[in-house]
Amino acid sequence: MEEFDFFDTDYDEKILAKQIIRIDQKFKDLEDARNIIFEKLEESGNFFENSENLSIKCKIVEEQEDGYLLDVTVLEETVVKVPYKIEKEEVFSGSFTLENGMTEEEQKRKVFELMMADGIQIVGTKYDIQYDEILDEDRETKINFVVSKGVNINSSKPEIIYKEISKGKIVPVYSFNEDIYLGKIKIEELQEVSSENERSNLMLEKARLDGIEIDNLTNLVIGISGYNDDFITYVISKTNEIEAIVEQARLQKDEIIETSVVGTGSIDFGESIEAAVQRNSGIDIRSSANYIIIFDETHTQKYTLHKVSIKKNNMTIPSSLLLNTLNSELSSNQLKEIDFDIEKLHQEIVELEHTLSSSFNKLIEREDKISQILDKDLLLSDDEIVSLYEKYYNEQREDYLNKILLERRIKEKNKKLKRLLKLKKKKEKELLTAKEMGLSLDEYLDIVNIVEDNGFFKKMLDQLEIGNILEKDSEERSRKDKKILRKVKKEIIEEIALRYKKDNLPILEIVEELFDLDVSNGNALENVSVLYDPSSEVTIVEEPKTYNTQLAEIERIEKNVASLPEKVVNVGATGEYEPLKAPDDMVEVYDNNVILYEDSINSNFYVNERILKLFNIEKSDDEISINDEILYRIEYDDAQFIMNNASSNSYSYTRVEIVEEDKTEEDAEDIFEDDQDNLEKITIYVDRVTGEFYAKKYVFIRFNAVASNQVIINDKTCYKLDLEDFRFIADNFNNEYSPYVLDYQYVDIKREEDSLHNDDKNEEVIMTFYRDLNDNNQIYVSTEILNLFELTPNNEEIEIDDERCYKLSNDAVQLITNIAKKSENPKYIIKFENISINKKVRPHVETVLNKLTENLDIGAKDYKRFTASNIKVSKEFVKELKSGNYLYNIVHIIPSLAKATFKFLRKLCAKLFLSKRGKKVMLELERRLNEELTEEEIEVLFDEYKGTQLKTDMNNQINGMILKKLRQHGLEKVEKLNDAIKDDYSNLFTLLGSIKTIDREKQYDDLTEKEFNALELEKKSLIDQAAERIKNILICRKDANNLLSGGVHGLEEDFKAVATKLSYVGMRFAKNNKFDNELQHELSEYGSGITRALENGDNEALLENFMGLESCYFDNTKIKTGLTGKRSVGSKYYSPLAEQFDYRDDPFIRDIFTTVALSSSMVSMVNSYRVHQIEANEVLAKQQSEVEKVNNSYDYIDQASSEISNNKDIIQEGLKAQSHQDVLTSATTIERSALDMNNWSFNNAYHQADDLGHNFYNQFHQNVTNSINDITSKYGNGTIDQFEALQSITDIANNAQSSLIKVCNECSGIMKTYAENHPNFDLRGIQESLDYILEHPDALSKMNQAMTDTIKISNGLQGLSKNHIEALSSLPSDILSTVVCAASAAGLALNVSHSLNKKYLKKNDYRNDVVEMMEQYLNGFDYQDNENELAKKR
Amino acid sequence: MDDTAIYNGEKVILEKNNEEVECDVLFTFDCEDTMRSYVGYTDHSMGKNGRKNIYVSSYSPFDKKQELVNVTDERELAMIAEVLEEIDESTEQKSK
Repeated sequence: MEEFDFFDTDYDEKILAKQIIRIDQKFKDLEDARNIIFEKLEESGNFFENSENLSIKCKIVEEQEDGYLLDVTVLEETVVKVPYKIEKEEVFSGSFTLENGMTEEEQKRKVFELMMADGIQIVGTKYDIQYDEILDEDRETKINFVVSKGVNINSSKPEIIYKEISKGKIVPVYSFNEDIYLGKIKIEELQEVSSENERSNLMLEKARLDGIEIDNLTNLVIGISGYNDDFITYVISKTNEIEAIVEQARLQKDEIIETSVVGTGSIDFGESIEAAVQRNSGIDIRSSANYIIIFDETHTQKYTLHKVSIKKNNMTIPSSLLLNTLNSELSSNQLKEIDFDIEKLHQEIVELEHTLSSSFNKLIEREDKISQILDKDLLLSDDEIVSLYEKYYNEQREDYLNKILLERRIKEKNKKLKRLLKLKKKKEKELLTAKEMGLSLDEYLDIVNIVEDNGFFKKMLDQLEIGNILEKDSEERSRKDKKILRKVKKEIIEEIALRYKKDNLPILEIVEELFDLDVSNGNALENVSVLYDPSSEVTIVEEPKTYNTQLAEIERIEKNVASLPEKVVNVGATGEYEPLKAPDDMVEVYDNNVILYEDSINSNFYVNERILKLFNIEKSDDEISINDEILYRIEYDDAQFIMNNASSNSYSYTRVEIVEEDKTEEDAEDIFEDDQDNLEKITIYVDRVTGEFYAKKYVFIRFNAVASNQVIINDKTCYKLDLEDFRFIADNFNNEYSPYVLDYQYVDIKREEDSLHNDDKNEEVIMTFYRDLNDNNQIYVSTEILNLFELTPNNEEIEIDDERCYKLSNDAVQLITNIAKKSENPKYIIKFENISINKKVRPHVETVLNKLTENLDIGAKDYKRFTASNIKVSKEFVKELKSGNYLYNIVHIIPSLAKATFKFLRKLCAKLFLSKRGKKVMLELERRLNEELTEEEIEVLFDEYKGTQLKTDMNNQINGMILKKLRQHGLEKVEKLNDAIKDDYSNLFTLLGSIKTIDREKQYDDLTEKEFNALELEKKSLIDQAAERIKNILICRKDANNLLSGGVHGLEEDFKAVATKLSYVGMRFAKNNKFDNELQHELSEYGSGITRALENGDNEALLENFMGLESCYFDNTKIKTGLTGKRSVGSKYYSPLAEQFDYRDDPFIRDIFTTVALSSSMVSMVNSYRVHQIEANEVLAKQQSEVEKVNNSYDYIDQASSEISNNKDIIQEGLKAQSHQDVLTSATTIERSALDMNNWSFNNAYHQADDLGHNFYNQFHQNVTNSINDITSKYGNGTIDQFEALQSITDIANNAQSSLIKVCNECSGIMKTYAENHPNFDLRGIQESLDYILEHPDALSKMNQAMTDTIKISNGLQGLSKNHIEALSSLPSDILSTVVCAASAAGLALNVSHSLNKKYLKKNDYRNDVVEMMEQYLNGFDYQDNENELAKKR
Repeated sequence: MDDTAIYNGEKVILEKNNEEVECDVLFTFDCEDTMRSYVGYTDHSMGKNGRKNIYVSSYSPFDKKQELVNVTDERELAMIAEVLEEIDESTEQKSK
């Protein structure tokens, strides 16, 4: 449907002449140009009537030395009417019955109602409705209507006239080729001419002959469309460029002087401007270049459509051909140059902006395309997706880089433009002023130069008595001063000019005369005197090439500026800032060196008091003196802590020097023999009685000898020297490299053990400690010794002297050494034997890394590292930083801002960073880590990576993967240790039970002395065993905790610290509640009790204090359950096992877990509640019933069995889902406990946000709880029966379950992305759980139903117990299978209750098996079984 | 209406509860890896620890309206830390 409703005026052009003319001068103005051009045309035989009404278009064809060649076209313009093409689209048609008195408005509404009823959305566009009235068969008036969408043009008359449009830009957004001629030419003709140009001309000529107006050759394209033997067919196309998007018009004054608004509108999303104009105004702007679109400044979607009319000036002429109205050849040249530059720059900027805008459009299109592809959910292979991503990523990246480049270039050009405009303005001003004064520019500038010479100007000002202004620095001059200077200067120049015009004297003479200045002798004139020739009549300097020079200068400066960085910071300009100093009393001056003394004999560590304070270590009584300094012995753990924390990492600058204790002061006196040329003296003490050799400690160190049996000789501690070692020393005493002399002293040795060991009957147990000289004196012992002390080996066994041996940890060495020292009967004697285990030299960490990475092309970004570029810093910030006045908090989460979700682009990046190659490399690395590394190599990596030991380059590219493996390795170790602890606890409590029983038995009156003694002896043995367990617990717990806090978790913290340079240390706070001094005192008593007991080998005291301490911890642990989770509110947190805490520094994880876990915990709660409150009673009651009842129920079981066994699978699946769900629940619990445990403190704002975020779930929780209470109370007062209660609760549980599914659904996606990007958290378990629940949405609901059904059936089962099932197993097989099936179903139901009960206790609370044991112990559990067992034994 | 922060090339305008807070821009940088630009700015507020608060957010250079979003990706945070260190170091060197 097309209509022509509106018309606009346009001009049709007819070419009257087209000719190239030559002009030898520039035109003064347009009138001058017109006259000259017509003259020239007439000279060549073209005559025009009414020439003033004709239009002329000029183009410079060639610029010659003394003129120009112009291509001139003379046009006759005729006014034509142009119809606006309005397109109307029919959107709806229909009819309705016209009711009486229906107004036009009502009819319209009716139409719209009908449209809406038909599902047509009424949008803001104007609708055109055409009504047609007819009478139908029932003689009722019916209205047929057609609704069209079209737009009226508001006005075709000029509304806004732009008299001058000089700023802004026209951006050509659209260009298209229009075929204007289809021609045919003989090949022969073409062959006659040689050049390409001539051929083209031939073709064009043909077109001209056929009446085609070809005025502008630049926008023509000739294309060959076909040929045969004789002819070639060709197409001449015209390239049209549409200047459509204009922010502000920048049009030549002379070209366009009038525009009229012909429409307004706005662009819909995703619509092109042409489409919008077509839609809103019905105008196809693509076919005409005469429209300008101007966008609303504040609303970029809104535009105004302008029609451009060329009326007044029917002459276009290159501006460079027009002389400036200021009539000066020189000035016009200079201005021309500037103008030319400006024009060029302008053009460049426009082009750049055009490129920028089109690349932006390209980008939008591409993003649309990609999201469309992604939306379609195509079935693409991984490779295809990667290549797709790569392709688009590369394109986007190119765009991005282009954009940055373009923006920079635009910025530079704009700067240049600004400077040129400024220069132009200055020049124009100078020209104008010169003209006003009636001078040429050169004359004017001469005067200015002279006046501006400071020497002259000063003298001139002095005469006016205002010379003091010039004495001031320009910055000091007031505004008034400056005004005066400008005024005076202007007046002086005017005066000189006036005189110059009048007298035509040289300017300097005028200056001399006017101001009575002696210019010939003046220093100021020295520079000009060379050019000044008094004899010459010409009074001005001949070639004042000032402009050229200045232009060159500008260019030079610009060139230099372009090579400068974006911002140049004046470094030295900020002297006024004084950094703040800390008050003197706050500056603690101390020595940074941390010296750790290690006694190489017994591996004891010593430090001075300063270090004790520095690391907050308790001072021990064991002190020694080295170099006048008192040193205190510290525990191995403390030493380890110092080594780990004092090493030079990013947050500590202290340094560790491990100095082996050398010759102590007491040895110093006899090191050197004075009269023997500083020969070292080695004193060997020989026991007169046994002939054994002894020496002081330093001798052992000196010769790396094995020390045993400590004795005191001459009040000094000596050790027994092995015969072998003695021989070595004796044989080598005159070794020329290290000469020493041997001095033998025969002594009576009273050995320490003599005093303790008088009883010859006492048994001696000799234990061999193998000392590996190749591994830092690592001690190995045989399994026998391990068994003796009930130690569990936790490393690989090696064979030494045909014995199976294991590495002994330092703690274990100390433990055994202490026990041996205190032992009496049997007396444990430690014998050291030096060995060199060569077979198994631990590989170096770098060798292991090499094994992992060999031949792998690991890119820098395979571990996803981002690099910043184009960093710009504000001057103020630099100043501030330099001042050192502030410390800063870096905040990257602004509460009001959106969280940066993993948007498309970022997802793309994340994906691409593991490109195909990267992915392959990482997979291979993972495979090598899992399959190729030996246990020992993993151990090497683990040792090197934990703490901050590997600090050279941190191998960022591969660490992500390595850490994953090491973490797994570390956790496995911890798990083993925890298992050992659990076993020990279990044994310990059994032993405690037995001890308790003995104590009770000892109270019996009828005990004989022998019996009493036997009990005593038994008790002692039990206590000894318990003490061993405790020691083992202490060692394992320490090892496990070390692994977790310094090792497994330390890995993450250290890497994070290194990678981000952010430390979390500062974020840890103490517990919030008041510190309990009394409790601390009590704990301290127990603690020192343990230490004392260990030292004295008092096993009973050890047991007592250990249990006291543990009970004390347990009693003071309080866990409060709130809606948002569990929180430790007690003074202490009892954790018998080493626990690992993931996620603790990650609020994101915390959020997601809290959300999911809250939902899941409700489901758990409902389920467990049901089991606890209703079903458990039922099922457990049955368990207590009698055996006979089982027999009676056989028939029933038989009937019910099939139904029950059907439910079995369902229940199993449900249980599985339940356990996964419990993982989620416990995740939050653990995480929250972790926060408490580690004294993390989130501020109130965080908790508030937390609460708000989970409001929904809180509400939900409340509802569920209320519903359950309601059901319970109804069940309690008998309103509903058990089955009804169960059914209701099942419904609630299922509802809760569906909420969980929803939450899981929401979180699963986010979780996956998050997990991918956080390899440092082991989130597999959580993900699996989420996935499992999502994959089995019905599992829990089904289980709930099955439970109900099973319970219903089990009513008839009357309970079964393990004993009953055992009894059943003796039945004939066919009956057995039936019954066992039924029994197992019932058992399963029971298990559900037990399992949920256990899970509830275990997972939904903080406790574990050991905590339960402890609770039972404290509740006076009487260990009946043990008692019975003991009784039996006796 | 949600709260927003816009970087207009000179200042960061934080709009919260219909109130505008103008923040000074301290530094900017681009990252070709993420194809995003980053801006560090301050409202000159002081934290409880007496330190000046510097906010760092990112924006897409392709968006006409340069709306800021929080930075949560660990790698981006690491990069920000590096940039800050670089700025600090270069300032130190210059003042020597």
